[in-house]
Amino acid sequence: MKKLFLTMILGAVALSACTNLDEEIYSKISKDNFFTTEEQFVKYSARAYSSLQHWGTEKSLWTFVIQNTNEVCTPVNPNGGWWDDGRYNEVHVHSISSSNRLLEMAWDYWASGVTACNDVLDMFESVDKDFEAKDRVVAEVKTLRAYYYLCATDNWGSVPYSISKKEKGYPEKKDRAFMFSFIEKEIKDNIDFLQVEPTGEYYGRITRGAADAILAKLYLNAEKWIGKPMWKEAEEACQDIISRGNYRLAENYKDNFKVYNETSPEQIFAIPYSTVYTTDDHHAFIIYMSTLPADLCRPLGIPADAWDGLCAEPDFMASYEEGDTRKKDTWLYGQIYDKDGNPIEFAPGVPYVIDPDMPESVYGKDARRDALQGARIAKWEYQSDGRLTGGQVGMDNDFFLLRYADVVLMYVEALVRQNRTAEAANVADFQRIRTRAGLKPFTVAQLTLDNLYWERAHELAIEGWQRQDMIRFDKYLEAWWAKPVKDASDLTLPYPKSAIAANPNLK
Amino acid sequence: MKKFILTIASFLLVWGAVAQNVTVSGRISDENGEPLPAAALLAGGDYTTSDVEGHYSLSTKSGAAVVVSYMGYEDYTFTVPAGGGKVDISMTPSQAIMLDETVVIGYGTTTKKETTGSVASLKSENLDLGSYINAGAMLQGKVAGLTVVNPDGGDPNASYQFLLRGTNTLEAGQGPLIIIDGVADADIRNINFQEVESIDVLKDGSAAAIYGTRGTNGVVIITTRRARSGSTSVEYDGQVSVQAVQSRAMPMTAEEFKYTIEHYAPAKTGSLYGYETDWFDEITRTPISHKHSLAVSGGNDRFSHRTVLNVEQNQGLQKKNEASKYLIKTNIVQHCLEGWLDMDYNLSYVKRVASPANYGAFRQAFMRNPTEPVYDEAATQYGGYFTLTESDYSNPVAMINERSATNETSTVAASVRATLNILPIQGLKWDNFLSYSDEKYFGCEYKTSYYPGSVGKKGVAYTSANAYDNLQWESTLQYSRMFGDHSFQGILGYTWQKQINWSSNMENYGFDSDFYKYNNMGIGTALKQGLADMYTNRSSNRYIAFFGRVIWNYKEKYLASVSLRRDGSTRFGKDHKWGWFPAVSLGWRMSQEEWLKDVEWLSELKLRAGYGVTGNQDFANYKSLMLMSSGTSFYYNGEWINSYAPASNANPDLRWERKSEFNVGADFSFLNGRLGGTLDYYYRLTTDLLYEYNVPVPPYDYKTLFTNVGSISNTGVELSLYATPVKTRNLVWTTSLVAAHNRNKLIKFTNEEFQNQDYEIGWIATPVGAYVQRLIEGESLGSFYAPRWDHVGPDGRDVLKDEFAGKVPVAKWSRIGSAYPDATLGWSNTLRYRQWTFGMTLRGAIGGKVFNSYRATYENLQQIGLRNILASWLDDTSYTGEIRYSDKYIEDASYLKLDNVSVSYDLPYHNQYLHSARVFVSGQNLCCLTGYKGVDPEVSLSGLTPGIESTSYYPRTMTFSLGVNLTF
Repeated sequence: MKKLFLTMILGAVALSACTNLDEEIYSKISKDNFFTTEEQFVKYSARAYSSLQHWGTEKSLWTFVIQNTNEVCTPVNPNGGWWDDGRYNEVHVHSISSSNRLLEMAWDYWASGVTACNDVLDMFESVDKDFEAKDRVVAEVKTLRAYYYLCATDNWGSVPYSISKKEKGYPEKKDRAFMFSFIEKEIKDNIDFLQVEPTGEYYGRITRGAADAILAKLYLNAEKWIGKPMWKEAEEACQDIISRGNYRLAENYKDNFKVYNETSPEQIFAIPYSTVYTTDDHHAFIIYMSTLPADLCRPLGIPADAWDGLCAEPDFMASYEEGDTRKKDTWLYGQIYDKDGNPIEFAPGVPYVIDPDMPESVYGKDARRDALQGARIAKWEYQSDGRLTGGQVGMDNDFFLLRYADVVLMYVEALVRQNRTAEAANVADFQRIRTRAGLKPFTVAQLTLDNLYWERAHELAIEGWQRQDMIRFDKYLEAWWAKPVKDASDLTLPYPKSAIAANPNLK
Repeated sequence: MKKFILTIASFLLVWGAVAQNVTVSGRISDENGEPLPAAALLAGGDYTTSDVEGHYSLSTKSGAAVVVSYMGYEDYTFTVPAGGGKVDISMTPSQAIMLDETVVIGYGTTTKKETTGSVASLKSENLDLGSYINAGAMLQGKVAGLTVVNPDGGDPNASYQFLLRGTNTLEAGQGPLIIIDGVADADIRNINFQEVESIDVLKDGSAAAIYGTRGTNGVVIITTRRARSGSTSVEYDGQVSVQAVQSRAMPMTAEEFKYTIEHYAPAKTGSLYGYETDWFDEITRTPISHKHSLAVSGGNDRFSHRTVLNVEQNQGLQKKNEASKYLIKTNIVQHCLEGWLDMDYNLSYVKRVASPANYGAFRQAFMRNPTEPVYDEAATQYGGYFTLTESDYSNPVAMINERSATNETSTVAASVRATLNILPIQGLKWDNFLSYSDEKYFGCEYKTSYYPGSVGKKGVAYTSANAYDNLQWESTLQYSRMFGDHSFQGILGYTWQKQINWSSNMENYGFDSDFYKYNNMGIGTALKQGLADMYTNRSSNRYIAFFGRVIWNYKEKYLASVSLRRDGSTRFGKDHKWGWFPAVSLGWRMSQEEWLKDVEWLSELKLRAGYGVTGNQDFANYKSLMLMSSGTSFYYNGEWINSYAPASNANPDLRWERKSEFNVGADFSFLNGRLGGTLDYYYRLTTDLLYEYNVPVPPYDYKTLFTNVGSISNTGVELSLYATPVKTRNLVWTTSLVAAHNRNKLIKFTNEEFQNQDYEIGWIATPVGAYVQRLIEGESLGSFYAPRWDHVGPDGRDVLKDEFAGKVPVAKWSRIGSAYPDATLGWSNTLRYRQWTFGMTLRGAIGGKVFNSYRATYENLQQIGLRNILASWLDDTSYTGEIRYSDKYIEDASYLKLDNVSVSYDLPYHNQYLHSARVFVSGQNLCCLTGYKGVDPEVSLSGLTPGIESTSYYPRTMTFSLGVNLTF
């Protein structure tokens, strides 16, 4: 009997092995094996944050918006590079086709961010396991999703709305009013769960300060986006940050952009970058590759052959006040010095002197700029220890998406917009922003909207906010260097072709 | 003295022979009594041939069986009379295609006359003499409906793409299932092409359905030469070949470049550097290759073997590009236990060593400014190579010199087939086949500190190691028996196969010296700085199947075959792992009917019809599962941690692509086999096509989802003809023609869920900047769309039809045609005159379009300056405008190629040691007649965007070979 039983078991085992088609998995992990510890939950939520790292790549929302404004232009370089089917040119002259690759990559920044947040939230819900910090992590991810949607509605107006992977079918297109109230509600519902004190542990994560700053951005643009001025709400959001006293201006402007800038007291929400951990196509901060000419790399301590593309727009260079140290702190022009401070020669006997001025005639498909024309981006200190070896090797500098100076400037703007100019001129940190840059404080009479616009432009140059600032200060549709006057349809970007192809609701 | 020894030796030998042997002699004649010279007579190890008058004399054992063979005649066997004597022999001509010839079908064999499916069967004598990089190349132009393309020109490491009866899938694999000596998914590169005995191609659904899920793209069954009993035979096959460029894209010479800039683009004189460099010449050479093969076989009725040694060393046109192969293989056949057990063992070891070509260097050589010098002593930081630091602009000589790369693949394969003949029941046997192959790959590459693009990294080293295991077990119960006029053959089987892939690679840079290359990787600084890469991955999959088949015929007149397979694969979704694959085929040999028996000119007429279902599962593992992979890093609480995300958009509903095919055909042969052929018509419909559909992000994690939606049909006609137009005593001309026509139609591409698809495909990058093909329901795949070109305007600009405001809206583009040819042809000829054999093969395609990427990218004055352009721009200098995509770049792809010409000579000199000797010369890929202005109109037809000539490939080469075959 025992024998028969054994035979039957063996037979059954053999038979099931003969027909077993379960996949054997080795190099990836299934959900059931994954969520076992709190650390695993945190590691899963990390995905929502690491989507931010796309910001600093060669084709991203950031590089898109800085070329879309009066800050940066990309003429064809002396060797004939950077035309690429006109994709950079289109972005700058505001005639963007829906198949533009830069547009698609810009869209992907927020879209992949939102989908990552949705996935993290769905996953937390589906895994029946609690951990101590769960409420806070969920609040962080929801606020982060609100930030991604802010990027979306800021640039595209109406956008597809999806807050869970479980929703089947094509996401519906929602207008700015809907998105505005969604973002507002989402942040307000979650803000109390967030960390208030921005201790080192929370570096690079959404804290109370970051949530308030995002709210401030939302309210500041409410008039343009939903036709309803909300200056008071913007003021209050900034006031909350200022009065809590968790942040202060850095001693030097440059401290915010150093290679190791994480200690700056000014940062509110940073994207941490690393030459080691964020070095690939979709997660690297590589502005040095996009802007520097190859022959300057080695003198600057960069063993790479950079691509010689993005330049400062000449009119923007001309707009700085005499003595504004931020001009030199942001751009590379004039006599160029190597990393040891010695002047560089362009050719034997010819000093390497970059002229920031360029006529509009150097711009276009068949034109080329000279090697010594066009200031380059130098805001983020170039790492000269030999680690920047080109390609997708990213810089160590962290990118401050939100910093205290921006909050101060938003606060001042909200006051000025409410005709409380005298009060605004008394904001000490605002005047310190001026004096830190080697400039005189603004008198009440000088504190016009126009001057405030330029103050923001110079303080926050190429940090990614100029596009919405130009729109808010009614500058965006005007003509500027190589860009013609545009009508109001230019205020939102076209949907990329790939997004339309994937979702008929965008047609 | 020497002469004396020789005399003694030959005396001893003759004496030794005489001591045991008798002499038999006579005359060999054909059916008309004419003498047959050089007919072969073989009796065990004794061998001779007839002379010019047909006389022979053979010294052998009394009572031995002598086999007389002569090309074009049936073998004749007689027994040596006791004491020897005179035996005259009259030979009977064989039918050109023997009806009893074996045809290999899945899990068994049948005969030509009994086949009911569409199967093309090639024997080694149907294949051309020449030098091949692998056995797949020999199929080019030989099987109607099978297109074999090498898109990589003269690269000795190239692989061939197969396309059978049109494109039947959108994104899953298109290669046929290759079975070599019973091993499924075997690597065709691991056999020696000279060892191929037969190749059988199962074309239609009814023939391939026995292979179920892997049968859609056809099944190619290769049988290599097997062990045979008899006295020891030693065969040597050697060849040496050289290659020369047959066709390539021609950039401007330095002189033309200078002339063009000075006369037509004076603004760009800054790009003239005053040198004259032929960049192509700088990186190429005349490649010489040689191949040697030595086979030893022999044994007795119970135990025999065939053992092969093979060495090949092939050079590529590009400097440093090489491919070598070292192979040792043995096949042992053993009959034991009084007929109860037959054993067949195979053991092989193959090592392939390759130095891969640098395709980028060909591209750079094409577009590099020819007035630039190669070297610049002052550029010490670039190793003395003249360098302009532009993206995608590298010195090709530096790319060749400053890189070294070697890949080694070793494969150990063993298989054993044990057949238990259950003697009490006649015709019943139980067959078990166990096969294991273990492939190890090791690749390394080093780019020195002066390699363009990685200057500054101080040398970059890569190594990668992969392992691939393929384990297969097959067990079948077979029964075959005649019951009166009924012939019955049945099989029941089970098969289990597991494939495991493991891969790894390492990268490091920052070396103190270029001396170490990849041999001391740990000392690079990048590893210590956290910048080096390391990666390992492992995956596996399994197939399981149960199958059965019954083949029946009545009086060899009415034929039928029915099969069914239950197939399972790990790759599919949880509820879709198993599928049914049925097939049925019928045949009627009309020529066996009484009322046709009197028609003398008709030798064979058979009608066939078949229907079968097959599948396709040639795509990556784990596509149906929701798995998490670690990708990016995140800065968390002072340290960088891994983040996790879904590995892909999982599709738990992933299921088979299902192809059902209907095939009707006729096999015919007239005039005693002098003329014959096969005609087939098929209709194949593939449903549940897999494709990466665009899905919105969010809610999906990634932009595409791999899922089953569409359907495709292919309809076609195939004709194979063979004939022996001339057949005299001294001269025999045999010829065969294959022709095929296929019409592809995309029936459905969308459904309710995936309705809004991007139907523009085939993106050609800047300066063209256009999608050149569209996926449109009701049309063929590979349909080109473009604005129509009209004329060159007075301003030098291309003017297009229907232009509005300088543009032709995409909606107004015209359909230019499809990439697929209307007909493909192959024509092979063999002319035999006495000991001379002359062979010639032509291959062609009629119709079809090809996109000329070279012209579209480089035949344009605007592009000159930093980069070179096509010399053909000078043919029409009135066109000076920028590139505008139009139908002028979509050209007719018809061509006729002279694939092979060979002459061989059978040396009349042979004796009891040297049994036969043959020398040959051959030329391959000799010329191509075409109106196409690009490099080669025969481009890849596989994949979703067929018919686009890529701009970065190896030039086409012709090969001239000299070879010798010796049999001892």
